[in-house]
Amino acid sequence: MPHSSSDSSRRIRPRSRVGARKLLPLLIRQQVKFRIRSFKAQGKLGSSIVMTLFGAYIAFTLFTLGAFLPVFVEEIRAGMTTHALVDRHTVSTLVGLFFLRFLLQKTPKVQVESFLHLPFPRWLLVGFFCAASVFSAHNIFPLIFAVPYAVRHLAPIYGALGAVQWVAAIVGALLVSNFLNIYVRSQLTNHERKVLLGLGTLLALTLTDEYLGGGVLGSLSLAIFGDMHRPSWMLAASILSVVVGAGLLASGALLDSLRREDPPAVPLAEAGRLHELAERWDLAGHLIWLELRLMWRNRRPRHYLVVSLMFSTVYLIFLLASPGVFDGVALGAVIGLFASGGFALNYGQLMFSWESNYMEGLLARAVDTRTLTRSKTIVLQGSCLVLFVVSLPVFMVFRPDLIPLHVAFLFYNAGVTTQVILELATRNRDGVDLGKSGGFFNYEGFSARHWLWFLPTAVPPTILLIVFRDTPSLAWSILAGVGLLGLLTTELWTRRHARRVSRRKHAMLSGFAIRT
Amino acid sequence: MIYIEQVTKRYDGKTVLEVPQWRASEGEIIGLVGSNGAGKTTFLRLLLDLIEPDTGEIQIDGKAISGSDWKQFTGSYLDQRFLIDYLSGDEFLDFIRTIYGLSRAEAEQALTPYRTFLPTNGDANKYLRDLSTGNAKKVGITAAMFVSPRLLILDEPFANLDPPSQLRLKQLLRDLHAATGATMLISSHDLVHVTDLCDRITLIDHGKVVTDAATSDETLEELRTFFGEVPDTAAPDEAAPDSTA
Repeated sequence: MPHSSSDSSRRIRPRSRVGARKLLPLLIRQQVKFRIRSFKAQGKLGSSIVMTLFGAYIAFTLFTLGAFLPVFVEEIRAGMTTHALVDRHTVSTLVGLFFLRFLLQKTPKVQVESFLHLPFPRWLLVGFFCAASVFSAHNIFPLIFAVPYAVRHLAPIYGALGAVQWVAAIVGALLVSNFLNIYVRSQLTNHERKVLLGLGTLLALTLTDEYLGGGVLGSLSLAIFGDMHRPSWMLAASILSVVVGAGLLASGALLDSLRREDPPAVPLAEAGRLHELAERWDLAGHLIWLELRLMWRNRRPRHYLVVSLMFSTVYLIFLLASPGVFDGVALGAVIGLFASGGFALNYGQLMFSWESNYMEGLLARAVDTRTLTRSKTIVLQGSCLVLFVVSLPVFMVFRPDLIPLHVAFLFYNAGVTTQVILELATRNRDGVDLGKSGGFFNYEGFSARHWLWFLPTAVPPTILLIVFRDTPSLAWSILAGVGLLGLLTTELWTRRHARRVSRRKHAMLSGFAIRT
Repeated sequence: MIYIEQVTKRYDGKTVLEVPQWRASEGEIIGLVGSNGAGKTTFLRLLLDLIEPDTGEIQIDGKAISGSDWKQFTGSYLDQRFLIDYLSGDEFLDFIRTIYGLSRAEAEQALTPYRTFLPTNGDANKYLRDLSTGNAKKVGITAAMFVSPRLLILDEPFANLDPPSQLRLKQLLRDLHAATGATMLISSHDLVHVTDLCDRITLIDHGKVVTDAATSDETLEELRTFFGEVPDTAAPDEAAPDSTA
C-alpha cells in the first residue's frame, strides 16, 4: 500500500551519532554524581568517622615519615645516606604495594559494563574509566610520603627540578602499577590459574630476595631510581612513554575482557560422594552441601577459600621460616588466629550476606533458622579443622615448638572465633551480589564494623599471650580450655544466633533487597 | 485458610497497603490483579512473612505467620530471589525436595507431570543463572508446585513464559487443584488467564482492595473497563505495518 507524505514524515529518522566530545563531559558529570551519592548513601555516621580517622592517621604517619625521614634513618641505620636507602628499597616497596593493590583495588570493568548498552563508543568508556582509576587511594597515599620527602630532602641537594623529576618518576611508577593491575586482573577471567601461579611465583621470589638477602631487587632499584633526581629530558620522556604504554596495555586488555564471557564454573570434585553424605544428614547436610557449592561455584567466595589456604601454607612458611620475625608475642596471636581460623574470619563475617540473592526464597520455605544457623556453624568449625590439618606440616617442619599454640588456637577458633564471627554475621544487613562481584577481592558487603569486629576476636588471645609471656604453655592451655568450652556450648550459641536471625530477618531481607 | 485483619504497610511514612479485612477459604483459587505499584507483591510478601506489617494481623490455618508451621505446606514463587542461581535446575529441585521431606522416588513421581513444562534436557544441567528468564521461572514455579502444597502463592506466573508454556501452566494449576484441593493465590496482569483460572478476583488499587468478588461471565469486561482498556478502533492504514521500512 502506498504511503502518503504525512506517513513518511512520521517515520523515525536515524539520528546522527553523538561525538565523543559531547559524551565525555556526560561521563564526567555522571561519575561526580556517582561518587557524591555513593558517599551519602553509606549513611553510617559511626563507620564513616572511624574510616576517616583511620585514613587521617595513615596520612599523618606517611607525611611525618616523608618529612622527617633522615631523622628516622639516623635512628635505624646510622651512617647510611637517606636517599641511598630510599633508592635501594623503592622497587621492593612498589612490588609490595602492587600486591596490596591487587588484593584490594577494584577493576573498572564493572563500571564499564554498566554503560555498554548506551551509545558510548567502547574505547571511550574503557579509556575514561582506566583514566579515572588513577584517582585511587593506592596512588594518592604513597605521594603523601613522596612529596614531603622530595621537598624537604631532595630539593636542597638536587634542586627543585631534580626533586620534581623524582616525584614524577614515583607518580609514573604508581601509574604503571595501577595499569598493570588492570591488565593482570583482566587476564584473571580466563586464565585464573596461570595468573595466580605467576603472581604466587613472583611473590615467593620477592620475599626470598627480601628476607634471604639476595639483593636483586635492591640492585634493580638502584639502577632505576639511583639517577632519577638528576634532571634529564631523556629520562622524563622515558617515564612518560612507559606510563602511556602501560595505559594502552591496560585499556587493550580491559577492552578484550569485555568481549569474553566468564568461563563456566568448575564442578566440585567428588560431588557424588559428598552428595550422598549430605543425604544422610537431612536438611542440615543439604544446607552445608549448598554452602560448599556456593563457595566453589562463585568467584568471590572461592577466592576467600584460596587465599585462606595460601595463608595457611605459603605465607605461613615465610612467617615461620624467617629468623627473628616471630619474636613478637602479638604476632603469635595473629599466626594462631589465621593459620586455622583465617577462612572463618574472612568468609564467616558475610555468612548470611552470601545468600542475600536468595535468602527470601529460603526463609519463605520450610527452612528453619536453627537448622540454617547450625549448618553455618558446622561449615565454619569444619574450615578451622581443615586449615589446621593443612598448616600442621608447616609447623612440624619449621617450628615444632609452636605446635601446642597451633592446637590451642584450633580449639579457640572452632569454639570461640566462629561464634563471635557468626554473632557479627547475624547483624549484617548488607547484601552481596554473587553474580556481579566479579573482581578479585571485592569488599562489597564489608563496612568499618567488620574491621572493628576483628578486635574482640583478636584482642583477648593477644592480651592473654602477652600477660603469660613467661609461661606460654599456661596461656595456650587457657586458650584451648576456653575454646573447648565454646565447642561444648555450641548448641546454646546456635540457638542464640537462630533467635537473632528470626528476630532480625525482616531487617536483613530489606537490606539484602537493596543489593539484589 | 488465610485471615488478614487491619493490616497496613508503610514505607517512608507513605501507606502502600491497607487491608481492613480479607479472607481466603480452603480450596479457593484467588486472582490478585491491579496496576503496577498497586500493592499486589507487597500483599504477597506480607503473607509470606518476608516483610512485617506496621499494624494488623495475618494468620494462616489459624496460626500467626510469625511461627513457621505454614511453611511446611506452602509453595511459593515470587521472583528470581526464590531461585539459587548457582545450582542447575535438577539440583535446585532436589534441594527443594529435601526441604519438604520428599524421598527421591516420591520427588521423581511428583515431578512427572512437570517434565513437559520444565526446560528440556540440555538446559536441565545448566546453572539457573545461565538459563533464560522464562526457563528459570519454569523451574521456580515447578519448585513451588511439585511438593503438592496446600497453599500456593505465585506472583505473575504467566509473565515471561511463551504461549504454549502459559497454557501448560494453566493446565498444571488446574490439575494440582483437582488433585489436592490446594488454596491458590495468583497475581497476574493477564486478565484472561486470571478470569479463566480463578474462582475469585481481588482487585487492588493504590494499596486498597477495591473489588473482591466471585468470578462471573462479566468479570473480564468489568476488569477491562476498570483498567481503561479501549476497543481496537485504530484506522487500517495506521495499524498496518510499514512495508517500505
